[in-house]
Amino acid sequence: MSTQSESGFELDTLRERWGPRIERFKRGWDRYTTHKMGVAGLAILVLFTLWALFPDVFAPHTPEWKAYIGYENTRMSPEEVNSLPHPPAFGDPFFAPLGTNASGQGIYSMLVYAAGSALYIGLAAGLLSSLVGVPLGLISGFYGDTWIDETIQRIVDVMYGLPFLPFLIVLVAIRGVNTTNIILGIAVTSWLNNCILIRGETLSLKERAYIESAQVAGASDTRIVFRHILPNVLPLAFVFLAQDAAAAILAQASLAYLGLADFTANSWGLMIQNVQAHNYIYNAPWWLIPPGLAITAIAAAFYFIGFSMEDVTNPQKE
Amino acid sequence: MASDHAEPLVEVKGVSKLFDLTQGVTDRLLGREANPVRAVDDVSFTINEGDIMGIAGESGCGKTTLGKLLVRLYEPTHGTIEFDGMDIGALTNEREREFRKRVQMIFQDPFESLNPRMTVFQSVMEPLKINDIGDSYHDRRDRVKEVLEDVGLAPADAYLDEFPKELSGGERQRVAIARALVVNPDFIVCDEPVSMLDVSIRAGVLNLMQDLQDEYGLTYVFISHDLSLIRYMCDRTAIMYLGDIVEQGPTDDVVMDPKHPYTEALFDAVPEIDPEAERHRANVTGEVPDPRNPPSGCRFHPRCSNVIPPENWTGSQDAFRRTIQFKRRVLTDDLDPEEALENAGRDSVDAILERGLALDLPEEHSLAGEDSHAVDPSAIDLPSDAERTLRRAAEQMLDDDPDAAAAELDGEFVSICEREHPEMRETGTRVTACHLYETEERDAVAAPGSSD
Ligand code: SF4
Repeated sequence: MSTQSESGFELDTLRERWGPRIERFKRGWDRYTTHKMGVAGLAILVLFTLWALFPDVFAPHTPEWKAYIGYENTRMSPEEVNSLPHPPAFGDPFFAPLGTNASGQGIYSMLVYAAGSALYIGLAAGLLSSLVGVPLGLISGFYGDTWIDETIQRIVDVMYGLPFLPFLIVLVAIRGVNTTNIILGIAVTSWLNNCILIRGETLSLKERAYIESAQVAGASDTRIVFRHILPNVLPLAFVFLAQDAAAAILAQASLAYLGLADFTANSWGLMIQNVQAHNYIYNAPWWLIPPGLAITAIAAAFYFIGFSMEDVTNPQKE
Repeated sequence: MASDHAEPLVEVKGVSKLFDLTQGVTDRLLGREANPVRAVDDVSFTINEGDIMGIAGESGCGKTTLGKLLVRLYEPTHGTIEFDGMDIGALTNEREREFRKRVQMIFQDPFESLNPRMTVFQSVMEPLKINDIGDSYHDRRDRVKEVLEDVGLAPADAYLDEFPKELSGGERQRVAIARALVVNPDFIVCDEPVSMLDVSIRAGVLNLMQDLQDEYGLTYVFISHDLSLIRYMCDRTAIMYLGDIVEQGPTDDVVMDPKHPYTEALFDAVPEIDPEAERHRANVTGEVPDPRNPPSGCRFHPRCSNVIPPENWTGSQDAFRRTIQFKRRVLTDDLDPEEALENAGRDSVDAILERGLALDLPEEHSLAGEDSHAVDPSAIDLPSDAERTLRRAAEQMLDDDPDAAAAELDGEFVSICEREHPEMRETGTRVTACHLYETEERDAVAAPGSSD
């Protein structure tokens, strides 16, 4: 036998195995695209992802750039300093489409360069809380009403008692203000919801006849959890991930506004905090509104995606 | 078909299954004991190789629990189940694997018993994978195709990659059957296998199951509330009531000549095959009682038309049945003097008697002029001392002292049926748990059917 036909044979096998999944994905996609909200959410997310990956393509300058002087290491004249923050204007002596802030950085450029940190915080916190919450929820639900379940639920109960913001403030105060700690702080509280909701779902899935049918066929607990329960909770877990990501971005923004942000990293929340710090809230809308809109947009994008996913993957509606 | 020389394949010995209900907060606060449900209570029977054994009963009688005990989805609380000589409660790992391969189950609802995220192929192949049958992916795929064609899903290729939601109910149940058959089992428990299917396709699935029995050399247990299905499919039948098996034997005998009053009532409730024949309505009162708190003695006694009077009873059996009914109503707080008075507008004691002695029966079994709320006591052949006791109790009810009334009645009218749980007795070809068959002379006096 030639290796050629051998590999062709392998390919066939692969196609047979993966064909139905690809097919199912296509159908899911078709359904997803019927949701305007979901498509809009995806579009926003794609845009922000592109901003994060290729900021130099989208932004005219980098955050180091300053109005009037560009990248030069010189000082601005007093009149120039007085004209800052500069509103967006045609014919300004520099190019800042959304105007500048009090130190002369271009708002639009800052916005583009901060997309990366927003996505990073959202996805890292969301993934982290899923990675902790989903397995614990699965175990807790599958061994429902045993000491294992009991232990996990007591831990969840205790942690639920922690007030989110004060807890975060203390954590950040102890361990230092940096993005990693903020992500950790957000994940520590947000996995609880995941755990509880996944547990509930597992408890109900466990009663399905197909689980009993697998048991009769001799399937082990591990197989039942991973092959029969996990695939049925994954879509739900994804919905929670999207919601957690949105919540994390909002939390980070509120923290930044309260002054609890990593001031070395550029972020939308920090931009708003700076508006406030320089006392321009009422006078410089071009500085305040864009980061606010960006935060709203990315949080909304995650929520929209979550909701549309839920509809696509909800078997009752299929 | 039923052969007496066949080897026993499954032996169930004194099996009970109790479910502890988790206590509610109020129960815990009040220090009440959790009352376990005796879903299956001390049941014994044998299934011979190659037989189709039917298990019939109304919903909630424990038949599904019994089925799940047979495939070891539940562990029995008491008793043992032996499969081919091995106690399935104490299997070594290796034996357990063998058991899982030889014993399969088909579930009631094909919309639930297939994982919605697995294709037909994945579902049917899973038991092969778990039991490590077949060498390669292609081996298994061929085996799956073969079985799908056996269950009438041909050409198999068209079904392999479908998801359950794309199939009809009948097709899904065939996939579930294929999934059970793919490991070449010996014994399959079918829990209401066609009750969720369209009536028009039931026969097709049932016939398929019969054909497969020959082809695969299977032994079946058929669990169903549908007696015509049991009659059609099964060699032997066990009838369950509130966790007890009350009668079992060859299906034909059980159907044509039921010995136990409950079996008789159950079959009366089934439409005749001959549409011309007049449909009988069951001569039983009331609903199935709460299994958490089953009646004492014979669990059927509050509903039974043949409940046995004590030796010194001088009235008719019907009168005794009504008296027991009266007593039970008083004991279970089911007799409301106010309501009885409202309905009658007559002398109050009479009104209570009228209400308490009435039986909630289909018309053909009632006395003339009786409805479910009132009966004329003088039409009943009550001994005079019994009537006096009843009147005393009725007066106490009117004085708002139901406890005294209960004490009055409880000491006076006692049937063996409510005191003693009847043992399984051989009666002819089958075994029956009913006091009627414990002594021959009782049999002669009050055998069911003699009143027809
Ligand atoms: S034991 Fe008594 S109550 Fe039970 S079925 Fe027989 S006659 Fe009826």
